[in-house]
Amino acid sequence: MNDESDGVLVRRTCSGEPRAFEGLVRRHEKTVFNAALRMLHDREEARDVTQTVFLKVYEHLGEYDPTHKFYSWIYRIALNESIKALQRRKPTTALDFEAPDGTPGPERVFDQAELSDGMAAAIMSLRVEHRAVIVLRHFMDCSYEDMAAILELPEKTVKSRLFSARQVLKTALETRGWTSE
Amino acid sequence: MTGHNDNALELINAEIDGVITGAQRAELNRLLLADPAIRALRDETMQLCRALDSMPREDLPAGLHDAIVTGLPVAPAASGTNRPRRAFANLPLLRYAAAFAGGLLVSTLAFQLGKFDSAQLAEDELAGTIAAHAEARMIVNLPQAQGSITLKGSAANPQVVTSLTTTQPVSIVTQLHGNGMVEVQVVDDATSNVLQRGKLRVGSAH
Repeated sequence: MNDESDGVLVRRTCSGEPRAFEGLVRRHEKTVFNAALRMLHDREEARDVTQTVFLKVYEHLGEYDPTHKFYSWIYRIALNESIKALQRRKPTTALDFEAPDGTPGPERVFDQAELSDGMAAAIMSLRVEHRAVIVLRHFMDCSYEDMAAILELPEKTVKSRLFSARQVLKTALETRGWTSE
Repeated sequence: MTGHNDNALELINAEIDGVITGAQRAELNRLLLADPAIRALRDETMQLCRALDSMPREDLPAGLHDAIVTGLPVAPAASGTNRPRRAFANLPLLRYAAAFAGGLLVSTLAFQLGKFDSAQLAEDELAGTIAAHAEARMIVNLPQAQGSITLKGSAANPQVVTSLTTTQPVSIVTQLHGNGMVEVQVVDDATSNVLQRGKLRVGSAH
């Protein structure tokens, strides 16, 4: 089953082999979960979003247009569900991820765990549209073309947004004391 | 940012993303030689992207794969068709939360009585492999109801816990099968249509 393309597994599922869907779940669940986790910074919410994504994909599988990449479709649903989860949060939640203040912190060397924690917090401090392009490029390994398809934006806009997001993220990390040395 | 720096930023990002052309690389090299600020910008951006790419990918939470697969409805919608829904009245199911609507409903049902097996749910109906876990959850994300239905406890004493926000009357219909498996349906009270169906299972193995 693992060697079959997404398109074949979709066709088999729609033809009355629901077990074929498990191949699609197995192939994409980790990426979807990690994307949700980076968008939400909450394992429980990421877990629920992942489950919702596959439920929606399954229920709307008949509407999937096979001329498009399956993963683009599922990643778009994953991003949209993550954004919906963010919108359901109470406003105070977002404050947890704001930078301490606007001034650069003391420079020091971070170990890997600190860097991961600091990076996760810095990602959460980004605006959602910036966070989405960072997640798509660096956690879902999407090309510019994929990102444009998923976000339904011109490729030029996606590139510009990604470049801006990286600069904003770099600044956010610098306020936490991160240095590129 | 100036047009000069915009150009440098685009070239640096093209290099990082592996899409730089030969002509762009030559232009970037010229800019790097001429401007230490652009060299610093390139080094910082590259290091940032390396740090992003090296962030660990988290493993799936235990039981999530099985929760996804067992929480699926029986069959996906066919292309361009509206899948017919069976009315709950035609099924020998337990209807334990009738006609609630508006606001949040949180309830727990323990299957102490009325336990029965049914041949109606054949193994080949199952949408994937069912594994025994201490908890299985079905996410409900419908226009009429949102939230979750969770099966907890053990195979001998399963408990269904609902946490749903509803906008119109729906019923949660459950049927207890053997081995700790519970079939759950969310039913639209106005039409008796089954809006969502899933199978949850807990076991004593964990």
